[in-house]
Amino acid sequence: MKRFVLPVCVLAFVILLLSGCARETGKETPSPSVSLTALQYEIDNIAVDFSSMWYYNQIEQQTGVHVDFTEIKDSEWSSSVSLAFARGKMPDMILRGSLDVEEYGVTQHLLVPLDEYMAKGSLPNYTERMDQAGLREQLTASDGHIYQLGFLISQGVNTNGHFFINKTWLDRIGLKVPETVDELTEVLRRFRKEDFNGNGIQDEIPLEFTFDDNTTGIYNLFSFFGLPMNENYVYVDQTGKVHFAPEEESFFETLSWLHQLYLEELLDIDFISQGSAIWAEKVNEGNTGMFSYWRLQNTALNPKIAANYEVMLPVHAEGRQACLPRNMDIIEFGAALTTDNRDVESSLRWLDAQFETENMLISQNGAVGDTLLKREDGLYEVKYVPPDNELYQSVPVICGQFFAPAEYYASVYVPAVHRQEKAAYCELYENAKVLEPVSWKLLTTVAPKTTAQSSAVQRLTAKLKSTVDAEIVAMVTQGVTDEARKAFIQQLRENGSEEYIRVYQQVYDHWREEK
Amino acid sequence: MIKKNRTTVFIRYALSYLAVVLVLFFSITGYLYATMSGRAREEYIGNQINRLSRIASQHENYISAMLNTAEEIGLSPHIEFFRYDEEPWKAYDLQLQLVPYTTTNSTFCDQVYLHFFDDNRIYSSSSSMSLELFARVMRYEFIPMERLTALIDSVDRLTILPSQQVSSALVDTSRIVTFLVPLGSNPGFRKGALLFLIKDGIYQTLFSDAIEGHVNTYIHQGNVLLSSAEEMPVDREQLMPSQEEDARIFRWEGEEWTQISLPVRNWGLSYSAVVRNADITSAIARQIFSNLAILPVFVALALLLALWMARRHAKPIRDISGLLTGDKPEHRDELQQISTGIHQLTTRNLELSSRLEQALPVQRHDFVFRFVKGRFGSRQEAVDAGNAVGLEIDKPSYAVILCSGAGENEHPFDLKQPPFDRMNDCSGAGVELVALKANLYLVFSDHEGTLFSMAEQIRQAGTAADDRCVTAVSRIHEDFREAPGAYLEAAAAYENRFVMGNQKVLQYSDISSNLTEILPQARKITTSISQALTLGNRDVLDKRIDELLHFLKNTNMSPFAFRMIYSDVINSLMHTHSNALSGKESVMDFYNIFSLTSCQSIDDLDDLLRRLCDYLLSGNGREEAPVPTGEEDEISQVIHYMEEHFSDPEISMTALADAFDLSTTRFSLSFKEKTGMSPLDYLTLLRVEKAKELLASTDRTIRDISAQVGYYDSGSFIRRFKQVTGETPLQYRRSRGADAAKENRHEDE
Repeated sequence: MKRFVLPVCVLAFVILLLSGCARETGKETPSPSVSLTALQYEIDNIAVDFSSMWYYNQIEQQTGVHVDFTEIKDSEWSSSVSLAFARGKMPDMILRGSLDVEEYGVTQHLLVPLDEYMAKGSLPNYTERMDQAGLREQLTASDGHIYQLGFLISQGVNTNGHFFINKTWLDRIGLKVPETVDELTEVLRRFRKEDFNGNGIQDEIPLEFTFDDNTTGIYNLFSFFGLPMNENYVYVDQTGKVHFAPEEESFFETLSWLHQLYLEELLDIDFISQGSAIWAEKVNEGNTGMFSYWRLQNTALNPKIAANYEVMLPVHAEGRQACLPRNMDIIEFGAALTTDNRDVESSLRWLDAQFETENMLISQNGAVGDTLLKREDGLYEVKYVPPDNELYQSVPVICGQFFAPAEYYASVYVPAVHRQEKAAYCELYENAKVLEPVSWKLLTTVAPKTTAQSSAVQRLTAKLKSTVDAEIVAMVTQGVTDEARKAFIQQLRENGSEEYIRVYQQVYDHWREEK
Repeated sequence: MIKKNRTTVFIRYALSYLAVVLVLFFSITGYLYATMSGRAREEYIGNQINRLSRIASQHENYISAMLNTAEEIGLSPHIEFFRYDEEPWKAYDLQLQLVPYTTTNSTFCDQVYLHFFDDNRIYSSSSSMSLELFARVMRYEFIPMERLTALIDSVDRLTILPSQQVSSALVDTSRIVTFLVPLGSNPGFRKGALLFLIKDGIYQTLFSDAIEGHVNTYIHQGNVLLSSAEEMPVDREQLMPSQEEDARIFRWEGEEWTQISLPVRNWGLSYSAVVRNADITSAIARQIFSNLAILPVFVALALLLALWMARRHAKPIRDISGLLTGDKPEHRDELQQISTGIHQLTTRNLELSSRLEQALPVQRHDFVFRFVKGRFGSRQEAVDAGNAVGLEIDKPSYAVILCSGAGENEHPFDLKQPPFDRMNDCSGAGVELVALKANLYLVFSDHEGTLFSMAEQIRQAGTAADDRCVTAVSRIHEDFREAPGAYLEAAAAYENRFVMGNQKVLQYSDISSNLTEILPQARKITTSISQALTLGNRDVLDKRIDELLHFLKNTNMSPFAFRMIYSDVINSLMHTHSNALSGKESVMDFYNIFSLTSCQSIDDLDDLLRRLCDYLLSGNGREEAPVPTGEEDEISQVIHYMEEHFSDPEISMTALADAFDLSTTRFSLSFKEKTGMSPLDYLTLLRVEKAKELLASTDRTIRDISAQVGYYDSGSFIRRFKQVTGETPLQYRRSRGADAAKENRHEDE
């Protein structure tokens, strides 16, 4: 027995020695000189180990900065961030998800102001892109400092809903695409009368809409009367005045027209209660004359059905200029450094490396040569998208850092065909000048609000929305009367419409002053 | 070869113990498996029943929640029946009203739809549509659109549409279970129904707590399968909903399966699980073996213990074998060697026993002599020695019998032979006294009369052999220390045979003797001899022995009396000086009772006594004198002083103690420790000895002698003298004078 002990020990020693050597030789780069911690946002249904992710290993090798991630699921993100600040045990960085910059940066001074580091050139990739797109203001907090790096994937979408009309039907009855409300009304009447499906039943639906959204809802129809109706009911005119749409004359004019359409059964009254799925089901039955939607390709619509439709500009009522709500690129929260950060320069070096064009596109689409293709003209193009969110195992996708304003994005990246379709519609509407001059999202999202303003807006929106939507239903189905109108206005005032406008006006004015 | 033999024994033990351990192991394992398998199967079934109960409980909680929702909506004042085509705006309010109910049931229910009877709409919190559109959009796998609308429009009780495929944008799943629940509990006023669309995934989640292995789980309503999770392809036709909780075994495609069922519960629902029997068996086996897994550990320990015990138990056998075979073990295993060795030992033992039996009379002979010579230090020692030679002597009385041996009967009778065996309470043995030409019988009995009967039996037996045979018996004794005396008594009676003849047993009590009268006087002289021995004074000793001889010669007594007195004197001296004689076997010769009886004259006795006293007085007999301590040295000086100044009447104990710087008590104790008598007795002895000398050799008056030896008062002198010698000074002078006259006459002649 004893004669086997020595050989076995020697063999074990040699194996251990060789395995140790193997590990040493497999390590190609020296240990990073800086190690940082980060609170990392993670999608609920995708579990990812960010610390061992290939993408961040590459960034570590490029920057010499190692980051230990603490992954937090979406459902627990807000409470975990609050807890981290409340405990006073803050990580070096907070990455993605959302963050109340006003509260933690402006009020509590727990975030590092980044504007001075930008001025020193610590974030060259990011700063250049931000300034060229004119997005600095949007990222500037109410105290004039920048506490966050933005996350932006801009595709140049300037409005949600574009109008589509059944060109097949139009052609069958020999009519052109309408340009005015009256023309449209007439076309709808013809649509109603014609038995396009030949079933002998007058079941054609001239107008198919849902209710309260800017993609398929009747809110878009208010644009015919020059009212950029949106879910917050506020917009800014060219003079900088904030308006409350339900109190505008054009609001009632639109409802009167819709009531007329209801009475003539030109409008599917199911808009009151049907969701987008039923809406799509009805449209896909091929018995609809007109609707508004995001685009035609790669949507819920059956391509064969979609082929019957053609985009049209919003019609305008007499004496009115069509005006649709305008979208704008909304910059999400990308990253922030806490005041506990142990090495701000290294942190920014690590972050800015992710904004380098190829790194950034890889973080979203996977490795070049694998799922991402770099064309001869220098543009990047997606080769294929792996199924089952496989990409998340090697790159952070939407959980990573990305800042691509529309112009820059178009200069480096070739979008998919369906996105090109949407871009064309947006360009058409932009050129036709049927979009509001100032995006309502500037009011509701971009312009910073104080905590009190945010609270007031949130409180008043809920009350006003139920009042407005109920009145829309009532006036479409029962008509617009002076009494109803007065009562409605009265009810809006009682529900705080004046305060609502005042708050938004203050927000906008402040934003303009800062700008 | 030795190692081989040792291994043989060890292996024999080891194999035996290992066999026991393994038999126990397999027996216990078999028993436990047999008892546990049934229990394990019941437990397995029980676990499945519990699992089904959990599923049923959760499922029925869902149903209860749906029924409660329907009840609440039916009773809600905010949800009123309306016709959509007449009041479409109410659809908006209705949707808002449905939001909380949707939220309440959202944990298990994907969507909740409300339908009013007599209307053609169906509403959810986020959408509404016509019934036909709903049916068309949902595209149930097994329910045609018309059938679905008819079902929805006529719901009067809980109706469950089994899990099936739907193909609709309304739900983000492919399989759903649909519950149709009438609104309100009053059948007469039902205004509509609720549709709960439950993702089949909820059921799969319910079923996903499978305990282990592959299990198919089913929920039936009546004979309709509502939902299932099937890990194994089993023909559903084989399933039978049960009215009782049971486990039914069925055979399908060559395999046995077990259907475990809960009894039919609320709403006709039944829950069952199907498991392959082989899986149950393997699960049971796993469970049992996991429970029994510890047994091999015990067995391993038991095996080690068995080996250890085998080794331990083999060792003494090896040792015994080694003892039996010595350094040359034979070429056999050790047990065989032990067997052979024991056989040899038994044979040898039998031989030794036989020899011992043959030697028993010799040992008894020795015992009898030692007993009669008084060689036993205690009664118990004598009893033990008697037992060792087969004699039971621990009896209340004994006697010594002497019987003349003559003719053919020269050897003692065996007291175990007839007719002596009738003396049941007797035991004893006999020896031959060649010098006396007689046999000595030492007989012990519980009754004194038996001893005399025994003596008579011996006499008759002796007479039968030789009509001149004489038999004598001592007195009856109890104390074993009186054995020499008993012998002398028997011998005395025996010597009386010439007078008494042999017609009866000669008894010592028949012999007249003045021994009792002279023995006290003789003992006084013996005491003085002992004192002379103690003092180591040979002159005084010689005088005292002369005095004893003088006393004996001038006393009219028989030879027996002489012997008795000598026996007493010697016994007394040996007892007094036992320490000096301790361990010296040679001195026993001085007290051989048979030597004493062989003494035919007083001079013989005198020689014997003087040799004993010489021995005691000489260096051989005296105790080794320890190196005197300072105190003992002082006592010696005191003795010397007293011997020089005993005639001084002023000598007192206090004066002596003071003179040698000792306390009176300490002086007295130390003196007695050294001399065996008190200082005063010693002083008295010195004075009496001097007085005796003066009385015998001078004609001085008693008064003068009294003053010369240190007494003021002649009365005290006379009293002390008599106390020491037994005579008054005058009696002493007269007796010594008579003796001197006799001696003078002899010299004149």
